[in-house]
Amino acid sequence: MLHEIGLALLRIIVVFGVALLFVAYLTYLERKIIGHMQVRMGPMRVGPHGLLQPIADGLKLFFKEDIVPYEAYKLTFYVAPLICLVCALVLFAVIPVSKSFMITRINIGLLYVLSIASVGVLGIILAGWASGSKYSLLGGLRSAAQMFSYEIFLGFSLMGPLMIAGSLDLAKIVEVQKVPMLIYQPVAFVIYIIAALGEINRVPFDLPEAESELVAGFHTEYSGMKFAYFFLAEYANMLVVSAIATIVFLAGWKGPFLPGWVWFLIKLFAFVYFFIWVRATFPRYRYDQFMQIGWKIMLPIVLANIVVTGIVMMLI
Amino acid sequence: MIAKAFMTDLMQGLQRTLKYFFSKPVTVQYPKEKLTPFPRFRGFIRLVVNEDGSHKCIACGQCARVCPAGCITVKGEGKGKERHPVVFDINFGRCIYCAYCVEICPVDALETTGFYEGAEYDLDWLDFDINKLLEDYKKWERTFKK
Repeated sequence: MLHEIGLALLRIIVVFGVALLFVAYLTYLERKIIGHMQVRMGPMRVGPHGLLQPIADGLKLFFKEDIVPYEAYKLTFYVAPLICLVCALVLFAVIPVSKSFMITRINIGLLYVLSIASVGVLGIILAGWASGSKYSLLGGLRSAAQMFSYEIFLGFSLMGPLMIAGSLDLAKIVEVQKVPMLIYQPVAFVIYIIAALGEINRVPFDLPEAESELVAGFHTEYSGMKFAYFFLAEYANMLVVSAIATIVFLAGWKGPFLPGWVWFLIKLFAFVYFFIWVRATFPRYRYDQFMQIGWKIMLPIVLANIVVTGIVMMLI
Repeated sequence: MIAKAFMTDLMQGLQRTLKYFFSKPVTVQYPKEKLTPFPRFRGFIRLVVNEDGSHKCIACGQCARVCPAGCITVKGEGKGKERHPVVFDINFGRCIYCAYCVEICPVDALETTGFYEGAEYDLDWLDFDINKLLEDYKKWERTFKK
């Protein structure tokens, strides 16, 4: 009994330690990759090739003054970043890194991820509402509309693979795949990637933040550590979304020669790289175009995908 | 329609950024590495001496007169061929690096250098006297870590 609790705690510490380290270094990775894509170098000064930059940034944010606007609703203002961060980090609990390494295995893993991820929107809306600023409120409302609608496609795009796998258990989904699900479900994969970009508020769908339009969207009034929570949550979400894509479409830890967790990380970072790559390439969509893509194009395609998958499964 | 469905234009964009990802950055890490200025770059001005070490300058004062910023002070001594400068100051805090003085000098006693790091807290440092103007300009280079 005690032994099991100790083992579980160890797993939690390892997974969260690594996850937080990754999240911190994702910012570095992003700045480096975007820098090189723009023929710059990115951070170079702090440590060799700027490797200590995330730590310096973290320290700076930690020691910054904690400003709460006069107009803000205090309690909500404090709680909102925590909701965001907790919802993002809790998701790591069900991600199977390799065959035997995951914090917990629950038989509705994917459902858990989708539902907790949608609670994360609450944090953003609350942040926008509590800031007492019209820019924050606009950002919050935009993100509400965006995340709710894109969650639908995110869920629907995972439906096809789920029908083939026949389980919501993330580990089982991986075990079922002899070849990556990508081959059976290319359409679902593309829709998933697009929906994921919308879900984690990244370029080209970063409308809630929209630096050039809304100052910084829902976190305009936040600074210091509270801002850091939003930032961490966003990057943690990016990792989770990439992990789900890896598990559902690319057969998770499966792969020849190398150990499982190495394969998992390789695939994970391929997705992360892709998200950063997209950010370096595309401009932001207009708000109505963005909604149009969602409801008029992606929804019919994703529904058709489910129907076709169902028919093919019935026939075979 | 088919092109739209396969997002060819978006792929082109991605391809372009990927191409630049693998190209070499153009950044020059300034204090660590510096670009060498072109030969006719107008940096700080320095005084030239003859091969035997005597002043080329004849203290005619034309440089002081032509200087739009009025940052050159010249005082000479002696008559005829013996005439040489006793005081020759260039205040680089006021200098506009037009190099008119170099242009007008009848004996080519002034020259431009590739030294351009004139951003300095200490204004007195920028006030160059005759000895400093005669130094090799490489000596003027300071590092940012003082």
